[in-house]
Amino acid sequence: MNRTAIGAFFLVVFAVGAGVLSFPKEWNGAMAAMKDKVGFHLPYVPENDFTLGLDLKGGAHLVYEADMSSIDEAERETALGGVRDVVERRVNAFGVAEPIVQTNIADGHYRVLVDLPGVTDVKDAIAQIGETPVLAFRTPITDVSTTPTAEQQQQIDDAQKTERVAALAVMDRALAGEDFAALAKEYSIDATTKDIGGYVGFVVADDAEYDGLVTQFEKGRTKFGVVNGLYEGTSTMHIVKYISKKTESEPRISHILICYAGAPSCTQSRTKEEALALATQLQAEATTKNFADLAKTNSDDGGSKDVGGDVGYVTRGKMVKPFEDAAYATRDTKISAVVESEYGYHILYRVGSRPSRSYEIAQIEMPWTTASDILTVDPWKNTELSGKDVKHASVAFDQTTGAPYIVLDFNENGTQLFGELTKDNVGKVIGIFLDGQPITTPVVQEPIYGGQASITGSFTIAEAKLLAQRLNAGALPVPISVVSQQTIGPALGTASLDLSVKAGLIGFLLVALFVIGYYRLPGVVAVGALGVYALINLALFKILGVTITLSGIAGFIFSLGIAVDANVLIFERLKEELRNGRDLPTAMEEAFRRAWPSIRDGNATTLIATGILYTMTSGSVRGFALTLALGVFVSLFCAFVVSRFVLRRLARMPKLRKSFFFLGL
Amino acid sequence: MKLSLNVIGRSKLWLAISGGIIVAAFIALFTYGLNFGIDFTGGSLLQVNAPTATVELLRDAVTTAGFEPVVQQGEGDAYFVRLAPVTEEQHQTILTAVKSVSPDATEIRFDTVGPVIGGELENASLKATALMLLLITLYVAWAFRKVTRPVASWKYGVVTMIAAFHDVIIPLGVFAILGHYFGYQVDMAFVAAVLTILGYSINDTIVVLDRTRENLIRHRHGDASFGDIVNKSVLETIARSLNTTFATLLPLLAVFIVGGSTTRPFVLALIIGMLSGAYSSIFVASPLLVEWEKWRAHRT
Repeated sequence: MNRTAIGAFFLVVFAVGAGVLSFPKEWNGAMAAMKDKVGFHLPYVPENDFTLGLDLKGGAHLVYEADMSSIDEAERETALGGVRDVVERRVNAFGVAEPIVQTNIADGHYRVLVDLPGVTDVKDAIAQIGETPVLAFRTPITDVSTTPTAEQQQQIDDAQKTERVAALAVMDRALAGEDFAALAKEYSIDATTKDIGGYVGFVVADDAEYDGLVTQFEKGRTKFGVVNGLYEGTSTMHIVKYISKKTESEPRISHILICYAGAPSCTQSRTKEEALALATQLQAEATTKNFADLAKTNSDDGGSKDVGGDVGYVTRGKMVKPFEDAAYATRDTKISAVVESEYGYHILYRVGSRPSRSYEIAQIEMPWTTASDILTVDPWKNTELSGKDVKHASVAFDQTTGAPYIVLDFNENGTQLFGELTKDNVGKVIGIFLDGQPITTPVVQEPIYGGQASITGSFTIAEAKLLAQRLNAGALPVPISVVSQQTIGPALGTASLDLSVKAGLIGFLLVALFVIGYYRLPGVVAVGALGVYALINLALFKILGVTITLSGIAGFIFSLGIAVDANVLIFERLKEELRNGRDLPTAMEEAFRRAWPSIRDGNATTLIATGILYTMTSGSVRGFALTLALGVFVSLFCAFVVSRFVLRRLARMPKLRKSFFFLGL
Repeated sequence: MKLSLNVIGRSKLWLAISGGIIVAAFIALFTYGLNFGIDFTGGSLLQVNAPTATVELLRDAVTTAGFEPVVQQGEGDAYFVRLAPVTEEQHQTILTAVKSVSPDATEIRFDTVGPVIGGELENASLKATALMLLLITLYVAWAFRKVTRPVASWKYGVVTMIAAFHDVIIPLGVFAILGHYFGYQVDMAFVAAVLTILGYSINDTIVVLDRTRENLIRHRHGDASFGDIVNKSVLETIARSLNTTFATLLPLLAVFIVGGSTTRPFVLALIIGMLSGAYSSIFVASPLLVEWEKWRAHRT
């Protein structure tokens, strides 16, 4: 019986482990509840979500074909790597979560595959990704002009004239009583406020953006409502709605910060618990007399500790919320309790206060051209040299040190331009830009006339290769174009996911009912094994990082049937062996032994099918093949380890040997 | 429960039924042909939810924009617009045309496959199917290598392949009919379904023939005829065949009914293949083996 207990223990641990991995959120929730109830809990697990394919979460799949006609056969694979790098950098610039950019070479076709989860409006993405990369050589601008030329001034005046007319027109409509929120939605260029009726909130005198406005309000003559007059910001024009004003006392605060390892900009090594203990102790010690000294010796806020913790007046909206709340809640000349913020634990001393007026406003922000928009702020200027003058870039190794460096070959025109450029810029920097981003900024050591430059530096081999690849991407003409595109709206994705999960659950339930109804007790065992089977499969999806697609779920559900098949084969054998007059334990052993060749052969053909599907196709069909193949392996494990173990033990129980329970014969 | 069905005794009936269905499937294939999806032909498919549109309005609007669309209505407000491959700019033009008919239209999905990729996929599917058949024939011949009397092992392989062919041709025929009348398309997913059916059907057949193999070895000194042994084997495995098929069909039916329209054609192909696979492993493979043996014995 001992072996049974050990076996059962491992089986349960295994099944629970698979379940926990499959549903970590539910597990952690249960553990939190357990901690509340009984005071201790089992370890939490990291909450990894399943990786869902584009067809389940919505998004775009783009296939680009690279035109390699002007590239040497031998260079094509590297050139494709360069294209991939460029595409990846552009995709990253969109801020898409978890984009995938891959290359694919098949039958002489060079392709870049791009997955953009969550992106369904692909118009811009396609336009930007498809552009041919631009390699530019630039030199720094040393004499940045701060006053506009006459011509530029004219340009500014013209722009302002039209902008003022536009802003005044909107203001007049607002004054005439049109809905301010609707106008803000239509005209405002401020992304953070346009959709919330232009609402800004309370502004105060030392607010850099609205100080002029506040000065005007403080004169006291402005009425509530839309202000008749435009307010000019640094490079924006505002139509303002004055909503309310309030006066409150603004606290002046000194504080002591006790931070812990892991908090932002904390250099201490103490743990969070230790930090809290220290803060609590200091809070008990602190008085208005010794506060400044305690701050000097203990505070971790580098900006305020040397002035006795003084942070000045705390204006609303400037400090982290818990700090601000505590500052306003504490009365003058009092010391607060320990306050927790993301930076650590604070003890606040409210030194005093001053009255402060703040003004609640909403706004419509409109464009306003000023000198800073017209004058160049880009410190780099283009030279005549560009990617079309570069023949090739490659990685070479220093003969003595073995350090990698980049060799850049120019064509005839490039040789001449580069010679002139280096002659004029000895000791200065030449920036090499790809798509407007600097990829390297070497310093010119001496004029180079031979048409071959080397860029040295402390590169690793991988860095040098990447740089050469990027230089080539800008130099070699590899235009790409979309050959295939798939866009799945998020609504369709979510609906498909819900439906599939529902279908899976119903399918499981039906199979369970059927198997139990037909095979009685072994059926119950089989359904248990099937449950373990489902959990192990889901856990494997997470562990192996399988991307779950619609067809993947179909494969999984289909494999439920296959998992049942193994059990059905065994049970049918078992029935036969029992009919042939064997006793239960022997019949059981025989059934497992003799069902094995059939199960093996049958599953082998399914595995051949999935193997072919996996290697010869791509995309959704592949997902189906992968989940189905996984299902086959796991189902074998469940039938021959889980079911067999449980049935063997059951067969030894004398009361259960009556064959009615077994199979209902 | 004791089955006393004489499967082998009615061999000719079962084979005739299968033959009839196969002929019908061929007629359907030749009359209607398969409705190939854009995976193979190249082209674009736009699915929109357009509450105030009709098929005619959408067709007119997209035609006016300069395209040759085929418009179909799906469930509810869903419409499918099929076109030759279009660029992203043309895609936007088409969307504008759709919105001119139904201002609240939303795009549900948009697929476009260039003709080159379509050709490649077609090529890949053919290669995959050919490779599949080859590997499985080899596997079956290997699995039955020890059985040589009275039927040579390669004959098991041939019979298995005929059963597999039976199970592939029937879904193809059904899809030719569904493609003609309901717009069901043959796409990459369909190919996956067919290959899975191949794997499954062969699995099913092997289990039955496996039992024949076992019984032949056990009764090698007895005087039972080959036909009787095969019949006994079929009857011994029939419960398993039916139960397994039923247990696999249950989740598939669940997906077919509640799993949403995207996977429905795929699951339907699997369901048809499964049914046909169950039939062929019982009523085609074994009778064929016996008839073949009879014919051989008669000739010599």
